[in-house]
Amino acid sequence: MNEKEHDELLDLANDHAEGELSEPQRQRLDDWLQADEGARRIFADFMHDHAALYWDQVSETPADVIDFPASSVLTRLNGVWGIAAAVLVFAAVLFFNMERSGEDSTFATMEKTRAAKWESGNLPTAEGARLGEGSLRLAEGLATLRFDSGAEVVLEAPVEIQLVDQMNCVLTRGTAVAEVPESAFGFQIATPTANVVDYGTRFAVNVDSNSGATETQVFEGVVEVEHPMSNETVRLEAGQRNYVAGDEVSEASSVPEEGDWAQSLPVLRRGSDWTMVPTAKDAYVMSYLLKEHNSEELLLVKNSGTKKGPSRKAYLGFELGSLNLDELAEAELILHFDPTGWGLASHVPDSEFTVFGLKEAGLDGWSKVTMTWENAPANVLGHGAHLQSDAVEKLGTFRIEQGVARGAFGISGSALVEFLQAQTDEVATLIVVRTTEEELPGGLVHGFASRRHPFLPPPMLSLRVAE
Amino acid sequence: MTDTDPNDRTEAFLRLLAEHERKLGLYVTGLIASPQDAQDVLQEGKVIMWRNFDQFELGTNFPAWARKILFHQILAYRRRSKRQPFQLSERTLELLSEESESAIRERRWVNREKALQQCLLKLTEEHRDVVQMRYRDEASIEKIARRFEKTEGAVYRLLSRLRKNLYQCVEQQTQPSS
Repeated sequence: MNEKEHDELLDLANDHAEGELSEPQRQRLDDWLQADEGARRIFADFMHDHAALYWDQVSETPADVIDFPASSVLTRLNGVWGIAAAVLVFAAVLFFNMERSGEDSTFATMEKTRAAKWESGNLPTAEGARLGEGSLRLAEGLATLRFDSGAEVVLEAPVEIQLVDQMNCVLTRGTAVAEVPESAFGFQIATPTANVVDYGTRFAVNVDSNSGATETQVFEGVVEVEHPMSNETVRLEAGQRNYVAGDEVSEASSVPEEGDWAQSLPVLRRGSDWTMVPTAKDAYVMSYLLKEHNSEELLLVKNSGTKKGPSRKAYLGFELGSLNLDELAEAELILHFDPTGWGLASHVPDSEFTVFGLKEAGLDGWSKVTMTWENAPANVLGHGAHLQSDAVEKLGTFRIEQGVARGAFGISGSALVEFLQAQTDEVATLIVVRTTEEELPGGLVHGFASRRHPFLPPPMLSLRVAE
Repeated sequence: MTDTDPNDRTEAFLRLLAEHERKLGLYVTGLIASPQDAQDVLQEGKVIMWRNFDQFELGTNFPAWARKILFHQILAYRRRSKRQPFQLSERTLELLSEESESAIRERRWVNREKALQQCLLKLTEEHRDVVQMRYRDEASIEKIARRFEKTEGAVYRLLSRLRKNLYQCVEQQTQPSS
């Protein structure tokens, strides 16, 4: 902004302060302020001076700076609260002075931890602890931080984060999911490669611990991903994601459709003798159609018992044909849970999930597109968790604590190993149900990442074959 | 907090309000310009805050909570105001509110307020009187013109120049010294 423009802006601000803007002036000012952040700052500062001239001449100005009659103290504090407020003016001045001299340096609270194991870091980690500037390293579990601005950040281990102030933190590795209310618009998560600025929304950021690459996905609202190296900004809306690595910034893209995402799923190896096999197909069925409460990314599981509520069961298909399972020594099923946003987590008890194997080979041919509650293999229609007992084999259970909606859960053990070895038709179908019924209608819907999830791993069998 | 003694609740509210009222007043005045209208909005906002105080969680950020309520009151005031055609749009107010939040967060305004007091002392006595009449005594331009035997236009221009000078003075005082 050149000097002439700066002067024009102050003139407009002055006329605005006096309530004397003409319509063309108002239009000019309005457009200018919307388009120019620098102008907003100048304007806001000018208007704040204007406000301070009005307020501070009266109640808070030290008497030795400007002399004014004591009676005028009441003129700014009239109306319904006048008397009570006047009584407390003394206290207010006292508080105000305290605030100026030594303000509490904390700005966030460790709201909740689940199965949390902390590594080095210089901040307290107990639930309820107040947090100031410093760092946290979570090795295992989940931790929820609430910033005084209203922003809530859930840390998913392994994760490392530095807290800067109530509107800023730095994520150096791992995954953080932020929920930002209106009061915290502009909340920012900086990473080694990007600044993710939130405008009232729910979003997840993942930082790769080796490369510092940043992946951002928006569930609701709008987020801006700034790339300081190129000064580029990518705006992400609900359902979009992007990726920043080094000097590369990807465009905003929609959460991928089934097809193209599938190709990018490799068989991962975990150590030389472990093989990770993602689902070749996965789906869930629902006892009745609830249009809004569907997900492509998550496989939903819910048990409404025999009640009419929308129960859901998940089906996982693994192709094991290329693997020799004769020497299978260990097997694990790993599911990455993520909040579905439906139902109140805090109102749901600890939940038990059961994983069944589908015994009959002839039933493994189900497809995501055509499978329904009515034709799903082994499904018992009248119940949210039951399956036809002669068609399935119980392989194991796992438990998710009340209030936890994220994290990796699963089963392992000899029942799973033996079931996988017994599969003769190269496809193994596992069925996941929630054994725990909801206590009240409208309870939490659990969900774990499907093979279509943009950044969480798909349901995965981790297999170790003995040498 | 429902199990708290209602008297404690009332006292907590009055304390928080007394502690933050001035800053809340500054926030509203900064957004709607007219100090008198800002008083009205603040007054209504305080009633709403009191009615909804059971939703406020003690120990969390009261001014941030209060500003949210006040911002809604500002929008409501703007919608019903007869002067609406002359006011800034809702989108602009939202952006300015965000700017306020960051200024508060950076403690930028605390510094400006201190500097402003210093800058007022640098004015000539007559100029300071003009500012005080307009702001402290809420005198009209016309009244100030009569008092100083000037035209209204001259007083308007003088006030405009004084505000700009004060702004520049505060800017200089709050720049990090090089």
